[in-house]
Amino acid sequence: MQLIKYFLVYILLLFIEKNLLHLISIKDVTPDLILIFVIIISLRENKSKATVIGFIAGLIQDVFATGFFGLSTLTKTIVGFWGAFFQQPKKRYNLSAYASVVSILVIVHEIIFGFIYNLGIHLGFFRLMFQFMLPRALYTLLSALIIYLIFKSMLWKTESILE
Amino acid sequence: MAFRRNISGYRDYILHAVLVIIALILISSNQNKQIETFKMWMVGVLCLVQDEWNSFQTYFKLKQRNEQLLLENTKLALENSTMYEMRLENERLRELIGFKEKKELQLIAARVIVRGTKSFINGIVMDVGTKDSVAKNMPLVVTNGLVGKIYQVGKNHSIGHLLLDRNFRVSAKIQRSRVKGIVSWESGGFCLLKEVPKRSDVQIGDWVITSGYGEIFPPGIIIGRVINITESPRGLFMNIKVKPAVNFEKLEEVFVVVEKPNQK
Repeated sequence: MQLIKYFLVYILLLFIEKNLLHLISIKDVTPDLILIFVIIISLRENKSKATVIGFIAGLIQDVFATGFFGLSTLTKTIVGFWGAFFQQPKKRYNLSAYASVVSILVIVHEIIFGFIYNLGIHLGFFRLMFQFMLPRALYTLLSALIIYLIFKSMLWKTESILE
Repeated sequence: MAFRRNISGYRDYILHAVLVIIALILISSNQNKQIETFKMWMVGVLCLVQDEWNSFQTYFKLKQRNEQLLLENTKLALENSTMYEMRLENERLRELIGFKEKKELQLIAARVIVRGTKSFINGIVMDVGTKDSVAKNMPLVVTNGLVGKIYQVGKNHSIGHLLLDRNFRVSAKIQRSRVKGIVSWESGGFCLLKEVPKRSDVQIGDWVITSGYGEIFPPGIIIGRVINITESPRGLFMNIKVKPAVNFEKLEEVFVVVEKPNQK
């Protein structure tokens, strides 16, 4: 049942990403909603489940993207697995802890993405990082925080003892 | 038994390693025919959903669009009559100086179904494919100018690379002075005209057009307008910033140029 819920949420996010995300783009930079989805799943589920969900989420994203095939599959698999190390299925993260974990995972994602993408286009890793990756990472982080503030009670039923 | 217990302790890591290896294999087989076919098949599935969504969106804009088209139609009809006169005059003059008539470009209209929104992977999915005689590397244009080229083709759909793509390059020249260079994306909605030697005759406001020297793009298609020129004291070339003529945000229909320049 939970997996069906995840799948439906994923389809909704993919639809938003393909049709509506350009409405909130800032200078062509948009947040990576699928990355936020994988991070939240990894914070709720065990390593195996989070890794497989990350893999499938990335693979579907790759199929509908026009860039490097397999790149999102790789980065989302890694984020899903390593995100599950911060797993807290019952207790809810407080905002600052959540922000720290999401920042680490988003930066890891962007570094791997940028590094492999740069192998194909030879733009220069640092230029790619500052011109594209960093703005996208910041926008994704901001979006992840907004999603947390809106949906926190839906995502984690129990209040955190840290709050 | 002990081995199984040991393995189960590392199950998550093994699973992770296997999936990472699969992902790396996918990355390394980007040009694989089967992967391209699978991807185009999946794009076809997405397009079915997207088509319905687009029709739903278009329904509410029909009235406004109709009025807009009517206005455009009137303008074009007026323009057409003037152009017809000019064409006749041109033909007469060409005959006088013995010029051969260039073949007209053959265009196929395509509807943009999906537009990639990734910040540096700019692509579009169109509703034309091999069944419409569309092939890889065919140029994409609109009335304002160059849009990009076909990147992958399926039976019913194709993916186009836009001018605003990091991997896109096109041989170009300044329309006024015929100075040649290479246009590629710089950042945001702008391009750079590269490899133009210092002190070349380039001015702000000049139109940049395709040169036709490559195998892909016919000559004379508008790319954009020069908006900034700088020269670094050390380099050999000018930095020429170009604003594309096409508004990529409002791309709804494009034309695929079927005929290649070297076929003329």
